[in-house]
Amino acid sequence: MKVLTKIGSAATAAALMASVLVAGTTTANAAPCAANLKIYFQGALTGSYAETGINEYNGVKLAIKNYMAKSPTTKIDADAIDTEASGAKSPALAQKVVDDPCGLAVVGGMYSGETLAAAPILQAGKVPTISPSATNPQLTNKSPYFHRVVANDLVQGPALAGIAKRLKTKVFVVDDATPYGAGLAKIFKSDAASIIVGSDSVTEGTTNFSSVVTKVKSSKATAVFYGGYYPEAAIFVKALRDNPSTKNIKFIAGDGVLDGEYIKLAKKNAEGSYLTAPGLDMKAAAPTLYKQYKAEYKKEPGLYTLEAYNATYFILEGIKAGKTERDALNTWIGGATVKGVGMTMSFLVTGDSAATVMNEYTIKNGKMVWVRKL
Amino acid sequence: MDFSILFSEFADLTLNGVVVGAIYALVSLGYTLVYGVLRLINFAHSEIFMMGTMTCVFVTSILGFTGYEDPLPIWHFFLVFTLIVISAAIVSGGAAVILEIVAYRRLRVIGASRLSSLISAIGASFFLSEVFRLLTGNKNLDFPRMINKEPIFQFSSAYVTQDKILVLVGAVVIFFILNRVINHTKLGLGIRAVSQDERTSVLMGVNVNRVISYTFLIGGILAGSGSAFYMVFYETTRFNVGFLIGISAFTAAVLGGIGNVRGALLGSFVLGLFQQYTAAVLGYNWRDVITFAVLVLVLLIKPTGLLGEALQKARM
Amino acid sequence: MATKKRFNLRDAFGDKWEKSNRIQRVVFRVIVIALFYALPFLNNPIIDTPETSFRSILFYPLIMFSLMAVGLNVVVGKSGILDLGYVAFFAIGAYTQAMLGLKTSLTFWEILPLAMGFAMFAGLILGLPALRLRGDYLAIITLGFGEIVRIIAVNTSAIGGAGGLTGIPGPVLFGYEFTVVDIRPYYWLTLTILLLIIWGVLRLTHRKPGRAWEAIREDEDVAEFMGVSTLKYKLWAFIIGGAVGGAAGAVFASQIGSIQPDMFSLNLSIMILACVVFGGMGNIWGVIFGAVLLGYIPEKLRFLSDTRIIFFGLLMVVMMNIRPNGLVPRKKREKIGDKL
Repeated sequence: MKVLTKIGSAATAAALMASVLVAGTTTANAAPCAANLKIYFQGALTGSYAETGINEYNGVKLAIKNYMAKSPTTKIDADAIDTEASGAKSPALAQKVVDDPCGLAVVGGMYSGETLAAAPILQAGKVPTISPSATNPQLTNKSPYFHRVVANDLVQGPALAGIAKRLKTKVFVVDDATPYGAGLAKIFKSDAASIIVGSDSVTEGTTNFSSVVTKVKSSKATAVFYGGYYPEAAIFVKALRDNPSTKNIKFIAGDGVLDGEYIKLAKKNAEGSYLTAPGLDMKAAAPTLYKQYKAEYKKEPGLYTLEAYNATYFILEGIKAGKTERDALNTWIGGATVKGVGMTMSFLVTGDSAATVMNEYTIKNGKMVWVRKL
Repeated sequence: MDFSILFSEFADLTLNGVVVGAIYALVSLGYTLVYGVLRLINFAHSEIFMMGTMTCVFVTSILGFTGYEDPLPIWHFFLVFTLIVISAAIVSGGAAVILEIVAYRRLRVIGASRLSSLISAIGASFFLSEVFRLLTGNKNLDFPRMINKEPIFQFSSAYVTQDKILVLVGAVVIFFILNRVINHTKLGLGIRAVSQDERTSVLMGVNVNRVISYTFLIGGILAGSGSAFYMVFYETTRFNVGFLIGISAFTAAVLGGIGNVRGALLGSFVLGLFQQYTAAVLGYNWRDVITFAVLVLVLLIKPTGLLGEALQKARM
Repeated sequence: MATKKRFNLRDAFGDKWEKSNRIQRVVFRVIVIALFYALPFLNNPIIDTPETSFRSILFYPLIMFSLMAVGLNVVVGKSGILDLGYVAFFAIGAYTQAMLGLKTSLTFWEILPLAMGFAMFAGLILGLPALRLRGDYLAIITLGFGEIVRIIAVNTSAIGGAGGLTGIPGPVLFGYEFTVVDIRPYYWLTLTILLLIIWGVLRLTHRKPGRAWEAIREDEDVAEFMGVSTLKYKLWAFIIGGAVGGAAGAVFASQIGSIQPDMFSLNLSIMILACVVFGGMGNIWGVIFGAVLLGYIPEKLRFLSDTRIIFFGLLMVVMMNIRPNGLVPRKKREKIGDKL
C-alpha cells in the first residue's frame, strides 16, 4: 500500500508539473505588437552621467510629442532602457528591446562603451539604431543596423590636437581608462605626438589627483588634455588650478566634459577651458525648439539634446514614409536624407554621419559659449 | 617608467604622501583597535568612514555653505570645522556602536565561527554602501571650500598650504588624545586587557561587552574625524569612497602589524608615501594594484607586519 | 525516548529518499532533469519577469549563478574557506574564451578545458601561499586577488583594456551555430555542465575528499592532528571551485559576445556568496535553491532590482544571526545525538 501511495504521489506531482508546462508553452517566439510601436532611448537615466542622459531622453520624448501632435496614422510611444552608460549593463537591456515586439527602433547609446556592448545584440534583433552622441571610431562599420548623427573621434581627436598646436603648447595627456576616454586620448596622442611631454591614466571615480598634478608640474607642460567625462574632469581641473605651478595651465578636453554639470562642479576653475564637441548648441542652432524645450521641461537642454531630438525625428520621418517594420525602416534610414531642426542628416554605408561637424566651445562667465567651427 | 620625477618632485610627493598617510592613520586605527579586542576584521569600518563624509556634506549644506569664492577667516573657520568634526565623529561613532550590536554581538556571544562573523561583516558593509548609493544617486557629492588653499610657503618642490597643515596638526592632536585614553585611563586598560587575553579579563572583572562597545565607539570617532579632514582636503565624496580608503587603511594596519596601534601609524605613513611615489613613477592607474599587491605580499611573507606581535596559529 | 526534531526540509526529503527503492529514484531523477531541460519552453505569465524575458533570466542569472554557487560552495560551504574573490575565476574563464576565440581558430569546445585549466592554475598559484593563513587574512587576500584581476584587465590594452572585447564567437555543435538571439542552447549547455559538475562533486563528497573538507571546516587544527593533510584538501577545494568558475566564465563570454572588465566586479563575488550563505552552506541543492531564489526574485520584483545589493547585504547579516547554516543546511554526518 505504502509503495503505491508513493508512486501515486510522485506521478501526481509529475502530472501537475506537466500540466503547468502544457498550459503555457509556446514554440514560436514573436507575437505581434499589441500596443503602440515604441522608440527606445538607450542611455544613463541614473548614475554619474544621468544629466546628459535625461536631457537626451527629453529630446527624444519632445520629438515624439511633436510628431503625435499632428495626429499621425501610426502612433508611437517613447520608452527607455537605463543602462547607466555602462557596457556591463547594456547587453541585457538591449535584449529586452529585441524581445519586445513593439520595440521598433533605438535612439542610443549615449556613450561609446555601452553602445559597443549592445550593438551585436541589436544587430541580431535587426533593430535600427541611431546614436546621438557615441563617438568612438570602433563603432564605424560595426553593424548594418547602427548609425550615428555625430562625427566620431577620428575627427574629434585631430581637432583637439589642432587646438593644442594652435595654442603652441606642450601637452600632458590624461585619460580615464574608459573606451571613450582612452580611445580619444590615443587618437590625440598619435596626432599631436610632437608636442606631448607626458601622460597618465586614472579611473572613473578618482578623487585624488595630487600625484597626477605633480607629474604635470614636473613635465613642465603648458596644457593638459583630458580624455574622459565631466565628473573627474571637474575634480582634476580644480586640483590643477589649486596648485600654483599649474594654476594657469590650459585645459583641453572633448565632448565628454562639455556639460552643464562640469561648470557646476568645477565652478570658476572651468573658466577658459578649451572644449570640443561634434554637437550643436541648441539655443543658437534651433531657437524655437530651445524655447519649447525650456517650457516643457523647465530646464536648459544639454549637449547632444538637439542631436537626440533629430535622431528621433529621422526615425519618425521613416515611420511617416510607411516603414513600420524593423528591417524596412533600417534600409530606409540607410538611404534617406532628412532635414531636421538645425541640421541635415544622412548616413554613410558605414553608419557614420555623412556630415562631420566639429565645434569648439569654451566656458565664459560660467556658461558654455560656442567659439568657432573647426 | 620615469624615476627622475622622484628626485625632482621629492618634497612635493613626500608632503602629499604624509598628508594622505595621516588620513589613512585615522581610519586604520579603527581597524586595528577592533582587531585587537575581537580578532575580527570589521569590513564595515570603511562604510563608517563614508558615513562620516556624508555627514560633513550634510552639515555644511544645512549651514548653508557654498563657500568657494571667499574662504572664511581662520577663527571662523575653526569654529565651523570643529562643528563638522564633532558631527561626523558622533555619527560615525554611533553608527559603529550600532553596527557592533546588530551584526557582531550575537555571533560573539553564541561563539559562532569566524566565517559567520566575517560574512556578517561583509553583508553589513555592502548594505551600508548600497543604501548610500541610492541616497546619493550614484553621484559625486561636493564639499564647499572654506579654507584658503593658497600656499603659505614653498619648501623645495612642495607647497605648504593651510589645509595640509590642518590635517597634519589635527592628526597629531588626535593621536595624543588617543594615546592618553589607551594608556592612562581605566577604559584603555580594559581595552588592552581584552586585547591581550579575553578570558582572563573576564575573570579579572572587566565588563567585556562594554569594553568592546567603547572600542567600536572610539574607532568610529577616529574614522569620523578622519572623514572631516578628508573632506576639507579632497572636497568630494561618493558612496564607495569607503572601499578604497578602507583597503588602503587596512593595508596600512596590516603593514604595520595588525592589533598594534603604533604599527597602524607607521604603516599608514609608509603606505601613503609609497602610493604617491609609485603613482608618480608608474602612473596613477597602477596605484590600486600596487596597494593590493602590497597587502597580499605582506600577508604572505610577514603576516605580523613591521611591528607586529606573534600571530596565533591559523585557526578558523 | 525520541527527541523532537525541528522541521528540516532536507531531512524530510531525505527520509522519503531513504525509503524509496532504486527504480523510484531513477524515475524521479529522470523526470526532474527532463523538467529542467524543458524550462525554456515555459511561457506562463505568472513566472514572467518584467524587464527581460524568462528564458534570458534562465540563463543569466539563474543557471549561471547556480553553477557558480555550486563551485563556490565547495570552497566556502564544504571546506569553510571564505573566498571573496570568486569572480576572478569567472573573469579568467571569460577572457580566455574571448582571447582564444578571437585570436585563434580554436573552437569553443577546445577552449573550454583550457579556460578551466587557466582558472585552476590561478587557483593553485593563489592557494598555495594563501591557504596557509587564517580565515580573515585569506578572505582579504582573495578579495585583493579578485580586484587585482579586474584592474589588470582594465589597464592592459592587449586584452582589450577598459573597452573590453567584442565579437566573441559562440560554440558550434555538429554544425549548429549558437547565435546571440536564441539563448536556449546556451541554457542547455550550461545545464549539462551543471549536472556533470554536480555528479562530480557528489562523488567527491561521499568519499575521502568530502570527509576531509568536513573535518577542515569543523576544526582545522584537530583535522591536522588526526592526519588530514589540510593544505592539500583545501587546495583541491580551491582548484575545483576555480575550475567551475572558469567554465561558467567561458560559457558566459561565448553567449554575451562582448565583455568588459566592470562586469567582473566585487559585487558579483558577493552575490554568489550570498547564494551560498542563504541557500545552505555545503548543501548542493541548497545553494542551487538559493541561487535560483536570489536570481529570480530581484528580476520579478523590479523595485528590488536596483536595491538588490542592499537586500543581499542585509540577508547575509540576518542569515548569519538567525540561521548560519542557510535555509537548507548540509547534512551533518553521523550525529548520533539526533537519532536517539
